[in-house]
Amino acid sequence: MSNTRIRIIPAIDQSPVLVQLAQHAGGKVLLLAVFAFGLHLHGSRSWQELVLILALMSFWPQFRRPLLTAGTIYWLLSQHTRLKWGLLGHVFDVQGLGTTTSWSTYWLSLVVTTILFCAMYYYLVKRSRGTWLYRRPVATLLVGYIILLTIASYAPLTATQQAYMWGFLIILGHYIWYLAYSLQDRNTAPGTKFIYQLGHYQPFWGGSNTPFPKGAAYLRKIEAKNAEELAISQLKGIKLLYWAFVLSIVLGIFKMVVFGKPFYNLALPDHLAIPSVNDALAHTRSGEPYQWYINWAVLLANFIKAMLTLSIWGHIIIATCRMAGFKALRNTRSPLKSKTIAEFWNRYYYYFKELLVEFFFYPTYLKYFKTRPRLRMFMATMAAAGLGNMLYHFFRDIHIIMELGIWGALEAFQVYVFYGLLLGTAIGLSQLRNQNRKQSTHWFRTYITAPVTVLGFYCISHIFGLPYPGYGLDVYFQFLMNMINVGVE
Amino acid sequence: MSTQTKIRNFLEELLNNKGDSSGFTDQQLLVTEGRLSSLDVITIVVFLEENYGIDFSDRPFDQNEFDSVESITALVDTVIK
Repeated sequence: MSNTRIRIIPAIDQSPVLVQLAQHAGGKVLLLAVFAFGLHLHGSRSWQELVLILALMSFWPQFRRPLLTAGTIYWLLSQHTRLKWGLLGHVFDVQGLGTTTSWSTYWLSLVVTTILFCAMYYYLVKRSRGTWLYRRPVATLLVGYIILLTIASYAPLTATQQAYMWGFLIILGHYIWYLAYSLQDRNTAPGTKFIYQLGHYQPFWGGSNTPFPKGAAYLRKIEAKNAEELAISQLKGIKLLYWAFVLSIVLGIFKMVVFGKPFYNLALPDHLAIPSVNDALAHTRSGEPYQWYINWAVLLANFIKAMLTLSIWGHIIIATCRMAGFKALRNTRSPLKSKTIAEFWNRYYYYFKELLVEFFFYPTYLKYFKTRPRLRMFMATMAAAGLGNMLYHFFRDIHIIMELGIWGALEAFQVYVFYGLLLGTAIGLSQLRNQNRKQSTHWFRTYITAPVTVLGFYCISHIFGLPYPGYGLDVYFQFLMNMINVGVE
Repeated sequence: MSTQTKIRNFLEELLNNKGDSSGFTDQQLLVTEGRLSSLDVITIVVFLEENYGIDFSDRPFDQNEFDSVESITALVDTVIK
């Protein structure tokens, strides 16, 4: 049987001619031009600046690390970095700082303070061998952050103090997992100087509160070591960027047909007009839920949209990272092929999963329940997919803490707490069930039962993990009950 | 059987169970390449705990040490010396 697969995007990274070509100046220019065109197709507003940084890294790979740091700092100063600028601006306005301080002085002083804090904490940990801080630097950091959030929520601070305290917490919250990776890297040989660690505190290729792709130690490992590796990495980057473009066309058509959103100035006169999840929840809450089949359609359509959106976003980031000479794995890798709930978790949002594994799963697994293997595995999974997942989103949604105070925010987070527990339990059970078990290759399991079970679980459960719309758990359960026609008059 | 061979055989079996029968060298970075996942790293941890009595709770944990036959062998050699 032939192994030849039909490819929408040709395997250009496997062509010896192209790999050879990409190692010469003319080939590099060609690759950069093709990549620039791809970014332009994706609607990137800063593609020229991105390509300029990539060009410098392509022609002078020996300066890749300093260029990465310079590029990242430039990206921050030019405010392309997704640093909750809107929220910072809101704090600045609400606390009335505009009369005494300029906006740029405000945010720049906060960024510098945060960098200094990160550097001081990093070096403090490095020099504290034999102490609790040295053994548990990330846990200490997270607990310290929660204490600061509590102080900001309830301490009697002046308006200016509030503005600077919340501003610092917003920026530190954004970079907290980047700092966690730096702390993890402190013992890894040969190590990376802190100034170069800063280069991947949300690098110019993008990301979120989740570091793409992980920290300095990982970047050292995946960095192209020679011209051929760089050429292959860049060709893979181009391939991924154009695959993301294919997916974005699919998403555009999907949104046009399902939600009636115009796509490239095209709009269908008739479309399915599926409501948004928030709309469906609002209807449920008001006592006038949609028909059961509409609720199913809402759930399915939103799940497909979420999968495509996340894939496209992650692919563009990783494509750019590969163009910079880092052979990173994809963030989303064929989630529909997942045979288990645990496997989907690994394939859907790889770098978020890695973050939870490194900072929650491993520490729990290696330290607790060592004499009870199944409980050990289950609790470590709960620590990652449950506790870590909840904590990550709690810090990310700092605007809710600012609005409601830390206790109020915890109450508002009940839906996400439930989601974390549900996810942790399901993934934990999935791992226990499949541990040391050879995967079935039977077609019925591969193509029918596994996808239906796995995708069905995530399709239904993902509703609890959506951004907070302000409803309690009861509204979500009512929505789900309506799907099986229970509770609908 | 040498430590290196024992580890190699274990990784081969681990990959086979995942339906991955393509070969690998002792230097190949299996986690970095995405052939082994973090859950597989845990399976390796359990293998090392059971076969070499290594206690990972009292030393800094670095996933990079579980990336290849060579790095795992080096880890075992360092710890049991």
